[in-house]
Amino acid sequence: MATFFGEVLSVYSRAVEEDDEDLDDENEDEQIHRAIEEKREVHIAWCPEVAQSLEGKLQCSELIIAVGTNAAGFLSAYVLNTESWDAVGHASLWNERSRGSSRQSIAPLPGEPACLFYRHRDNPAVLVCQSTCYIAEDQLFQWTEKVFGCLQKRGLSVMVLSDSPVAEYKTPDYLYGSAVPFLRSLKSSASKSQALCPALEQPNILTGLPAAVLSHCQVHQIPAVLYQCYTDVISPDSITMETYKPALLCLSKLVKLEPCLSADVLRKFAIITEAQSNLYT
Amino acid sequence: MRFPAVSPKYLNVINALVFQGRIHQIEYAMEAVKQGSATVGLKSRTHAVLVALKRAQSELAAHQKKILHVDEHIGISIAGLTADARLLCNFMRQECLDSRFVFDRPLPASRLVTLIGSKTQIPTQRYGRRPYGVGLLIAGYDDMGPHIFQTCPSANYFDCKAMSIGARSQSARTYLERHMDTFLDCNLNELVRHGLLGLRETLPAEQDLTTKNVSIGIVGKDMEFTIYDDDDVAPFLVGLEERPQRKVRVDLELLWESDVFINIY
Repeated sequence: MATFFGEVLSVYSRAVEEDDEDLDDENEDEQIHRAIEEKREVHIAWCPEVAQSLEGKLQCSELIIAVGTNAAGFLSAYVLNTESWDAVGHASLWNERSRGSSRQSIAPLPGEPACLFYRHRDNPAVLVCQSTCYIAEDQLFQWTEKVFGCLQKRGLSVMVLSDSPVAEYKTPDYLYGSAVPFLRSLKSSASKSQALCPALEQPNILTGLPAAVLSHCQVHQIPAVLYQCYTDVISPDSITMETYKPALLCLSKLVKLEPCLSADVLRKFAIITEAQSNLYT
Repeated sequence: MRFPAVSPKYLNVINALVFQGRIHQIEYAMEAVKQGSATVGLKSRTHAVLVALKRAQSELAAHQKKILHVDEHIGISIAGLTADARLLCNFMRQECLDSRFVFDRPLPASRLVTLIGSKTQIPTQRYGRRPYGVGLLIAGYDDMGPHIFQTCPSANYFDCKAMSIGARSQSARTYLERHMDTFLDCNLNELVRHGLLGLRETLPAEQDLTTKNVSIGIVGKDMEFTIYDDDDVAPFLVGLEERPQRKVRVDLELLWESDVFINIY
C-alpha cells in the first residue's frame, strides 16, 4: 500500500480464508445431518407375496386408514375381528416419540405402537392401515409418498378414521357432555359420495397423518373422506370406538363385517393405559 | 381497540384474558376433572351419600381411593388429578381440626366449602401457578342437615341436591335429573340404590358395578361419615338388577334404509 508521502507499506489482507479446521467441521455437520436423515427415514416393509406384485403397483380400490387408538380399536373390533384379513406389511420409523418401531425387518410386537397394513383375503383390493404410532411432521410426507407410491391410483378410494381430543374442537357454543363423542367429516374435492356426518366447521383444522393423507389425495385427485372423532377421554374407550359406526355403512359394501359384536370383544380393545390411570382418579 | 390474534393454544399464562373473555388455563383444568372416573353425590332429608367408580392401575395394584374421610361429619369424593386432590383433602382436614380445637365444634360444611373456594382461587390469578385440576363432591351433615357441594378448578362451588362429576358423568346427571323429586323422601337403602343406578349409567356396555370398582360413602343423622369398600359394598349391590350384557348389533340394512344416523349428527 502506498502512503501520501510515497512510502510503500506492507499491509495484511483482510480477506477471509477458509481454514482446514472449518472444512472438517462442515463435513462433520453434514455427516451428522445425513445420519439423522437416515435414522428418521420411513421404511415400508411388505410381505414377500405383496413385495413381488409391487413391481407393477398394488391393485387397491379401497384404502382405510385408522389413526389413533380408538380408530384402530374400532377397526380391530368390527372389521379385522372376522379373521378374513392377512397382515401384509408394516411401516417402521424412528422419532423422539416412537423409538420402538425402528426395527425394519421385524414386525412390531403385539400391543406396541405401530403402523400395520392388512389385506382382505377374499377381496385383495381392500387394504386397511392401523397407525397407532406417532409420525413426526418431517416424516409425514415421506410416509404418504412411500405408501401411495406402492398403490395404483386409478380407481383408488380412501377413508381415514382419526381420533382427536374435544379440547381442540373450536366452537362458539358450549359443548354439553352428552354431545361428546361426535363425528365430523372432511372430503377431497374428487370425492362425490355423501359424508355420513356434518362437515368439520371452520376454524377447526386437521393435523398430523390424517392431514397429510387428505392433502395427498387432494393434490392427486383421489376420492377421500375423513371422519374425525372428537372425544373427551384420553384412553381407548369403547363408547368412542362405537362412534365410528356410520363408517361401517361404506365398508359393508366391500367386505363382510361382524354384525353381532359382544361386549367382551369391545372390552378387550378398551385398555386403560398405565400413565392415565396413575395421574387421574 | 384491536386485540392481538394470539392462538389460545399457546397461551400458558394463567392471568391472561383472551379477547373472548376466557381464561383457557382454567378451562383446561376443568377438562382434567373429566379424565377422572365418575362419582355421584345425592342427599335425602336425613343422609348424604357419595358413590364412586374406582380405577386400578393394573391387576397387581389396588384400586385408587376415590372417597376420602375429612372429618366425622364430612367426606369427599374426588375426580381429576390425584395429587391435587390429596393436597386439598389435607387442607380440609386441617381446617376441620382447627375448628374442633379452637371452637370445640365441627366446622359447618358450607364454611369449609367457602374456604376451599378461597384457596383454589389464588392459583387462578397468580403468575407461575396453575389451577387445581380436581373437582370435589363434598358430603356433609351439620346443624342445617345433610349437604352435597360441588367444587371446580375454577374455584366456583355449588350447593346441590344431587350431582355427578368425572368421565361420562352427563349420563349420571340425566338419571339424577329424572329422579331428583324422589330423593328427599328416600330411606338410606333407596338413596344408595339411586346413586348406584346413576353411576352405572356412566359405564360402557361391557362393564358393570362390582365390589372391586365401587366405593360408597354415607353420612347422616346419628351416623358418622363411613366409607364402604370391597366386600362391604356387596349388600348394596345385591339389590341392583344385573345389567344385561348388551350385544352390539349393527343391522346394516336398517342403517342403509333409515336416515337416523344422518339425523343424529
